[in-house]
Amino acid sequence: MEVMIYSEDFRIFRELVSAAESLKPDRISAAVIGERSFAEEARGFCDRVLFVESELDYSPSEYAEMLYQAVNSSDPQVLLVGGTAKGTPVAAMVSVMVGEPCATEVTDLKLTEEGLIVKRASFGGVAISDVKVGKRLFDRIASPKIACIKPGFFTPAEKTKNGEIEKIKPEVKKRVEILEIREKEVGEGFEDADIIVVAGRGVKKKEDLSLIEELARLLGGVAGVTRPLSADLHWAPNWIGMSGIPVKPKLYIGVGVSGQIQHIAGIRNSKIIMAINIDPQAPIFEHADYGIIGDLYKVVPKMIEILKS
Amino acid sequence: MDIIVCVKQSYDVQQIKFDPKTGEPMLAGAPRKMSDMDRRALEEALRIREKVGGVVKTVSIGTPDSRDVVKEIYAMGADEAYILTDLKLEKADPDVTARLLSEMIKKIGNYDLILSGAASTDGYSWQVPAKVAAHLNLPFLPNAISINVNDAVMVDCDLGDAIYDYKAPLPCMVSVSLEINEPRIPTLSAILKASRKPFTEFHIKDFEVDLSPELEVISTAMPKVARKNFIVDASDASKLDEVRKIVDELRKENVI
Repeated sequence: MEVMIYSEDFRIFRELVSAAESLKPDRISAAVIGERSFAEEARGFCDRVLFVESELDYSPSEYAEMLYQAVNSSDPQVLLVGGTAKGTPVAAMVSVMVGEPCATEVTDLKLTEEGLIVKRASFGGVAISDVKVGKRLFDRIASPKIACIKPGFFTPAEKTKNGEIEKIKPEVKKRVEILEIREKEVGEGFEDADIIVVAGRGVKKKEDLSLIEELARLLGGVAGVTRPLSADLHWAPNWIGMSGIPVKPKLYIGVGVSGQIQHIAGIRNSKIIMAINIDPQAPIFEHADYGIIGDLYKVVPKMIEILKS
Repeated sequence: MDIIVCVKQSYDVQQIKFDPKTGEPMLAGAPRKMSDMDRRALEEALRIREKVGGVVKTVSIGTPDSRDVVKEIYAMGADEAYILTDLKLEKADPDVTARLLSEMIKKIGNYDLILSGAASTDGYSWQVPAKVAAHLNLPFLPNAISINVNDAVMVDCDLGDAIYDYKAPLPCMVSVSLEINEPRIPTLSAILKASRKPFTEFHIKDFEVDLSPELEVISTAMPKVARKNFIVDASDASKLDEVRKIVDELRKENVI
């Protein structure tokens, strides 16, 4: 049984290796599009690398065509794709091309006699569903069942292999033109943080984030924000939550975070959840191990004072 | 400019109740609303029409109780609404949905641009627009944060690590993100008029589409994590020392 993996992001690629290994396949193959150095690096993690030679920058239609060619150059029964903004549309289009289903937002998976069963975040991450992907496995050549793995749920694998590399160069029709690629401001990396302090709507001004940052720094942690502070107010390039970055630190502290269900879904796996909110009815308190009802502008300085003393 | 917008009547996830014993969602009679990103796709279509002229049509599929969405579609200002409802669609997966939408779009014909939300407010598969594009063999641009149309379409897409500015030929398919616009709120008179405006209904038998889903949901539940719920009240200046109790607890937990 072969599992093929594809992601444009190397850390997520290593998470896919772990996800693939959990299915105990006979071999793991990787599709790498465009980047030769990525393909070389990928050899250390799988049995075979299908390197798709291409000069094209990312667009879903073209990349789907290339991933489809990589699938056809091998015979995977399962295709795992990194569930990013770039990966998911490619997986969905390949799913139509191979005529096999695709499950997205997948947080865990297993192979049973009945086929591929995945856990997926449903209702925007509020609930978890068990989903059977396809009625049968292994029914046709090069027609894998597909799963888009949500980043952050598998531990990135280490190098253990020295796979062969095979080049393919499919003819791909260019369908759209890229006028410009504007790199986004890279936000804080939360994947490895033990302590995350998150500012919510209770924080009145952008300048006040410094208070949250000071608390985070004092605890040796990282500061983040909720969706409205990032997407609507643009105070930070990324946000914590199911629709942004799901996290599972040892300690999560929500400061002025009310606890919308999608935010809770993204922090649910934290070991300890602590909340500071002026509203005793704030939903986050139901999900918290420790809570302080009070004005964050008084409580946080007090906390800082206690921690410093 | 003929624009077709895919619009879903979603469950209102914020209002869904979960069975306290089983953790399963209680969907029977649960409140519905137009999917957030689809609403923005419709808004964007209306803005394009206001700029360059044309016709805005919508396609929707779902169970019979999703028919209410048509009123809202017309209240916002769409020209023609097409809908297919059937009880059998309760378990429709992204493949069934995308295939039916594509077939409806083919039947309507005549389009320059197809818009949809990048994901629906309840299903969040992020698949349907990509699959509609694949079925119709159209170039596809996901997660648009701005769209400009002349003889081609310029679309800025938020792809996580970067914003990609694309230029695509027409016709093409674009999915929009939440950030693309702030949708209009229909006026009362528009809402009243909308309920009298006729719409076109399609039926399952009009299309040769296999309705049995390849993605079979075995179970759904809200995971419950037991928490300690140790809450102190420091809302009054005199009680600010309560904060110390929590810091002490965190020290005992060995997390700080």
